[in-house]
Amino acid sequence: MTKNSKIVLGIIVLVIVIWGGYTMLRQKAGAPTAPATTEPIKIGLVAPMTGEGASYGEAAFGGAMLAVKEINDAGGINGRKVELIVEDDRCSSAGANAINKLVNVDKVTAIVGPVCSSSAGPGVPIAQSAGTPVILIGASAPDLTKVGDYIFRNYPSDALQGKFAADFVYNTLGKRKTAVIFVKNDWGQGIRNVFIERYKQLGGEIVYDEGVLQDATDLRTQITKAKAANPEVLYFPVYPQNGVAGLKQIKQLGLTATVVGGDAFIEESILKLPEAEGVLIMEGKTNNPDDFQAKVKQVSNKSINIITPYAYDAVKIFAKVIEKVGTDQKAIRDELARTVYRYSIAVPVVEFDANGDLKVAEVAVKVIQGGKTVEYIR
Amino acid sequence: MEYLIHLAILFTVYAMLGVSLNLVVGYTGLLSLTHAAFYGIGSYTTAILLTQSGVDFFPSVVLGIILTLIASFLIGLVLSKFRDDYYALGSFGFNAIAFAVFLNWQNLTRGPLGIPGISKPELFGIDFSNNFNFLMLVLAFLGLVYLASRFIVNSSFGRVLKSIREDEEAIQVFGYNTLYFKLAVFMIGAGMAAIAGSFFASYITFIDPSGFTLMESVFILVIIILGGLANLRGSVLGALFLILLPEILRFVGFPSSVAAQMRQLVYGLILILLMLYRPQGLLGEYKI
Amino acid sequence: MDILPQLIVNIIIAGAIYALVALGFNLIYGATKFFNLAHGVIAAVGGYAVFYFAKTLGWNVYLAVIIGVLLAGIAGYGLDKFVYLPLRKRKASNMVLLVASLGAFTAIQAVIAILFTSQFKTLSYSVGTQRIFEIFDGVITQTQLIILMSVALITAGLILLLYKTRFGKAVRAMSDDEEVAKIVGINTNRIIGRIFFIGSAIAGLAGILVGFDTGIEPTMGLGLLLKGVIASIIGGVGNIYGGVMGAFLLGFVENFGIWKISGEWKDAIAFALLIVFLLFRPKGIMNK
Repeated sequence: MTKNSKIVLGIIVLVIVIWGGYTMLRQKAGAPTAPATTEPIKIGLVAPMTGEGASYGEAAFGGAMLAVKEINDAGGINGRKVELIVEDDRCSSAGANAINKLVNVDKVTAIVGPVCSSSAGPGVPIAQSAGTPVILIGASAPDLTKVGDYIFRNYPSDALQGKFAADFVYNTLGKRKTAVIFVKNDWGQGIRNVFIERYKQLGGEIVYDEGVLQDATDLRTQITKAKAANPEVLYFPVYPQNGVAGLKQIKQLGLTATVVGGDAFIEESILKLPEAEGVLIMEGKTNNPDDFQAKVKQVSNKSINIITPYAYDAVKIFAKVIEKVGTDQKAIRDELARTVYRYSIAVPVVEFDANGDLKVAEVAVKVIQGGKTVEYIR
Repeated sequence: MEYLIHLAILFTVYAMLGVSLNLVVGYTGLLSLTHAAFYGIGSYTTAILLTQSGVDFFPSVVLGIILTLIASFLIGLVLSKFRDDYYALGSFGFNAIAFAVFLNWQNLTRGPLGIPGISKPELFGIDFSNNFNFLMLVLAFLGLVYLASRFIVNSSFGRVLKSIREDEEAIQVFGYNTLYFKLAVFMIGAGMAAIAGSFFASYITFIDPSGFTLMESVFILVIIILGGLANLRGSVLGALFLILLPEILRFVGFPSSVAAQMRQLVYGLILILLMLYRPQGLLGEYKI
Repeated sequence: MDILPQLIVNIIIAGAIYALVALGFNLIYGATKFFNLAHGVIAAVGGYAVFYFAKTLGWNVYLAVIIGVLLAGIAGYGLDKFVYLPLRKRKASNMVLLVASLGAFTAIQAVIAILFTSQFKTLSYSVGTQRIFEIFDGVITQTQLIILMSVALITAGLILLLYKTRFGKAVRAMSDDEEVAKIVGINTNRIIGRIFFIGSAIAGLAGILVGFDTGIEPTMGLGLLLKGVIASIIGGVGNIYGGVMGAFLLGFVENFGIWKISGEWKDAIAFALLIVFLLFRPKGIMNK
């Protein structure tokens, strides 16, 4: 038995190693038979395709694939098709592996993503030293764009959303006592930090402030504590899985404060939740979201959420830039720094500042009504 | 080539983790699932020192080892009261607590925002941002760790460890203070894990709590079970296999919308198959 | 102080969910004595089965729940038959079974993600909000009451099964000493298979009810499992009453803990409780 099983095992391992190694070598040996001008342009996508963040990876994939399809259907970039190479980063330091492969093995022209800061943190320096332009599509930790001049981000950094929310709650809503429940990851922590700093600066009072773990679905005790602090507003930047459970529990427990959520709430499971009626959300101003969503659904039947339009935009921005200056990475970077892109789905206009972050990102306040978001009117 | 060097560096880090865990699990029979916590302490010590103060890499490694020794002493003391499965669960618990500390002690670790911008070591003016040089350095340390482990395993100290694994009460009858031995090997293993952590932090330049979860401890355990318990070469081989496998799978073509999940599926199936057909691991002789 | 009644209700709700998971886990662990990582993902199987039949196909919800429970049971049974049983026949150690269960966990989770995507989904089928009941100033929903009732019913059912049937007697004999049970002629493997079915079915029900209470996603299993394990251990492993009591104790300590400290430390508190129990009362609350 042991001899046979060794053989079987050996064959399995050998097959995989040979298959993988062969494909790897074949890609490295590279020289394609087609002349360089008709060879596809490779753009990498790094996102969490498995693990806890997988719904964001799927969303990024959907947006990116739609963009690629539209570009290719229209004839490609200067006659060359775009090839999207997707790598999983499991929302962890495996992002370094993913970016390393894309940069050194696939030799992509540009990279879209990552979504998670835990992946971007280790991965982005690799792209920077290799001179591969990156547009982050999430990964809101402020320091990431400071890594270098090849790193851009079309997702508004935490500093924006948190500050806007604080201004909104204090000035527009006129509320002075706010409770905060946030999700304990780079996105939630970042936004919460900025919100609290700004809100206190304005003169508001934070009556309760606590985090929940990313996979938490039992927020009852936190909500009970928040309720006891008598807040006028609950600022609730959490992920959909926390939000769905949390919003239900908020209704069940009778917390009547106005609920203000982050842009992560722009997701089907929250919008369609009966208990989400009346919840305010911060949203980057989007154009035709429903139309857009329908188109994405045709390309990918997986999760669609806030990341989808950013991934779409990032691919489209690269395409436009490459169309103008070609595939020289330094030229792409220079052009990106100058670009003013007005066809974005996710934000009104994309223009990068000296760090590579969005110069202007408008945040709008919407209300959830009847399964979708509508303009908030005082 | 760069990609392979990158993988090689990761492999070396995990080989260190595997070898050090094997001392505790394979040779002494203590089912420890705390290793990621010590790995984390080493990483965070180096990260914090290198970004906040002027301390150099190598002194930070030393400090990381010291902190880990203290932590492992305390944790090991508590754990020594447990046996077998309970030991595993208790150690798992300490890992969960350590993770919570990494995540919530914001003032020190910046929590989920992580610590970016960790610099490379400085030694005789060699440029370690050149990954090949870094690989040589970390390989050298793997060599040291490996040799130290081999020395321990082949010494009389090591023989006592194996006896503890086989029958702790029997050897206590002979007058050996097994607590001392168990604690010592636990601390040694932890210290080595801290070294691995320091190198990881410096190489990857950014660390956050996500690298030190419960599943990370499970991953290191899988490395040594796969490689063969009580076999140091096996741990190295196991690390090689488990680092390379997901990367090789990146090249196996699946339709891109489901590719990553398909790879996870294959990964899981391979684990099952390996256990079915080679439960003692690739090079192992010892099955507990 | 008027949040106290609600806090108590919160504790009861949390404890009930943990109890459901602990019941299934305890049953299986008592018979097989290894840490089955796949138990959590079986709960997800139940939840997704109901999602598919009730929401996607639009079948009657009660029918879907029954199918979900059965499917989960079958999945667990299949896992035992094709993976764990062959390993047991080869006298594989608990660690090998652990790795195999990790493989199964990874693989099944990947399959769920491929079939259903990773998006968080809710199972609630009613358009409006659920019926809410008030108990002593605390609020509890219909689903949560159902969870509580299920715990009571299943506990009663299991007690009956274990103490009033021949099957149950055989199970208890196996828990005490598997070797002797075999000698006496009990077909341990067949019994284990049935235990897997029952335990997994209970896990499936847990997944379904959690799905109704909050929602489902492919990765929901591990968190549930860990809490269920802690509950089982502090209640006294293999002990049905103990598991339930342990679950409520865990719910109490967790919620009380985060009332006083902060929700971010929830997992750490749970594991700290585990360690305390392992130290001072390793046989669990019931201390049998």
